[in-house]
Amino acid sequence: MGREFVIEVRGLVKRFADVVAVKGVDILVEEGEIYGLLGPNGAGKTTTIRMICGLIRPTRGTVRVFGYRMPEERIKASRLIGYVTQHTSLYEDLTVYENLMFYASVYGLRGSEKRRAVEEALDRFLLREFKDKMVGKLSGGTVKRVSLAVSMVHNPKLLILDEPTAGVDPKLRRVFWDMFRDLSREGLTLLVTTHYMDEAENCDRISLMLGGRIVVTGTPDEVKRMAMGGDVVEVTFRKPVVEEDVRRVGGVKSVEWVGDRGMRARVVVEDAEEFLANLLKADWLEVAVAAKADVSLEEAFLRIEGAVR
Amino acid sequence: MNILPMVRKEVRQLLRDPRTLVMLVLMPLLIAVMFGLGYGSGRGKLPIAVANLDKGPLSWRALDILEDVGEVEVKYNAWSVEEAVDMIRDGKVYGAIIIPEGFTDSLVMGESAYIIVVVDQTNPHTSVIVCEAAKSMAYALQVSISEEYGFPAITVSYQTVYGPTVTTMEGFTPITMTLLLHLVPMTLISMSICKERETGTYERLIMAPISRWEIIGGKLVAYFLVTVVDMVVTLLFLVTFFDIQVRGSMIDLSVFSALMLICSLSMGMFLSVISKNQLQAVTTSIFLFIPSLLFGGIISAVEFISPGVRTVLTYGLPVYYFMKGFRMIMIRGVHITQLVTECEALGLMTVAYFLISILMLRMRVD
Repeated sequence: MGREFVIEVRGLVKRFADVVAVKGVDILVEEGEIYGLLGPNGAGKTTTIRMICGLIRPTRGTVRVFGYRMPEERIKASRLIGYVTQHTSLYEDLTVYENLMFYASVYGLRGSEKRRAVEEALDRFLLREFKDKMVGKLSGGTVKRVSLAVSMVHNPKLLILDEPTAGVDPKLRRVFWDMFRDLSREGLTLLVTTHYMDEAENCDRISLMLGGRIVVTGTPDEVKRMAMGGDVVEVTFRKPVVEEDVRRVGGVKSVEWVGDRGMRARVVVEDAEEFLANLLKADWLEVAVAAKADVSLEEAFLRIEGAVR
Repeated sequence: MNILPMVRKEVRQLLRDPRTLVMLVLMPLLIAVMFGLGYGSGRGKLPIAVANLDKGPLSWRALDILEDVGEVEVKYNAWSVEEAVDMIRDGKVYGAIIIPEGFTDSLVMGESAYIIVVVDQTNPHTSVIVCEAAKSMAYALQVSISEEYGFPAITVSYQTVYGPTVTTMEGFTPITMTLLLHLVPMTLISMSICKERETGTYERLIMAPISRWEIIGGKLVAYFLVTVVDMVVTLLFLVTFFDIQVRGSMIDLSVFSALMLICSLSMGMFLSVISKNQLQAVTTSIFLFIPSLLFGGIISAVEFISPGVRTVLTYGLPVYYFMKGFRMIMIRGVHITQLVTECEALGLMTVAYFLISILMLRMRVD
């Protein structure tokens, strides 16, 4: 028997009347990790998430969550899953407290256990002051927090979040990701979709979805290396040089000029440390500054997207 | 002028949803067809009883005429006034025409004669029709005997069973209650599932360990609890302030009304399950109410409806059973245990719509 995955998706396909939204997706999520499913709008992220939740029946392929087949065994798996939907999905004409109490009850909590769970959720997601406010009267960011609290009230082992930070201001996004990391440290497994690439840096592993397919999977660093074809070193020269001069250092895969030709270059190399060491010894070059460059996931994804197209 | 873009947008939106389109075009047509079939040439007649105590030739001639003039049909021949009245009380007929002894003799002598019409005042429509039929008959008889016997007067005198204390208000109370206990709760609950779907709460709800029957059953019980209070208040209000006399027991009336209420809710729930959005649910429930209005015994006695439409449609409408039962309890003072058919029909429809709703509720979002 193979390893136990929290989420095990194999060969997932979803065909709607006129489009194929998901075209053969494999996802393996391990316990305790934050797994990011990234991609532009319309890439098939939500459809994939909904199939994982058992809300949509796949056309082909299998989904297992904690070993339970979805959607057939959804009820059995449901107590282990918290689901934060894209549109907050709360009862706007009920108060924060009433929403929490309802879901705590539906998930089988009773009496003092239920009250404790609701109180904990209020504190943990900083909602105490909004306890008796109608959800419909709250601001966007607060509603998102309520949504998170409601999804966590039954203490699930897996939290699935569909675009939890869409439309949330940058400051609050950071607060959210701090919360996610806290939850992850406590042993919770998280599957998050987002189209904000910068957020994906917070994930342990990520998959990029494009046009219904996963085009790359790995840790953020692995994905960046894959996208760029190696490490990136940025070098500024005192005197103009030609590409040939740079390649002589060794281990160079490509050279890309920044600004004036011959003065600044982004060099893709097999290993940054090795290249920097060799660069010191390269007496045919007059190097002003050289350092390993930060590649943003956004840049990496744009490259991958370009390569795929 | 920005009215034109607005018009274009609205028309486009109205026609976009195929279901709305069907509603707009097909439903009116369907209703027109149903109406034609139900009330056209093949329509039925009101059953009445006749007690011919005269047995003379002119009384038989009068009854022959009756077959042609009115919208009534002689279903039974009674031997006495008491028997005719009993038939009305039993609900077998809507009225009786009594031709007293000596009717023929009086007319032959050229003296004035009279006939008696006994009507069931329970239903405001039918009593008028029976009286009209009797008047037409009397007039036609006068015309037909004028050459032989001159023009003797024939007066029509009226008597009512369950009356004459049945006021107009009392006659219309069952209709008011039908509207309140059918259309209102049905429309109200028809939005409930669609609302969850539209606002997105459904997606979260069905992720929880909750079954179809818990969703449907929970909603039904909640709507029932809220609307039943409304119903009792309305009933008490009518009885207290409008001086409406309930001849049966108030408890029977409430229990029977509650049964209708749960049946309407069950039907509305079914609509909610099959509708895509709230607008669709509401229009469907209103359109569904039209047949109830036309063929459920609200605007006319069901006997008027052609037998075909009656069998296919009327007997499938909760409204029909409710109107009948409600009138029996309120105006005739019948005990609920005697309304076996009505209670069974309403109960059966409640269970049927409830089960279909559970079976058809989709626990998915696609």
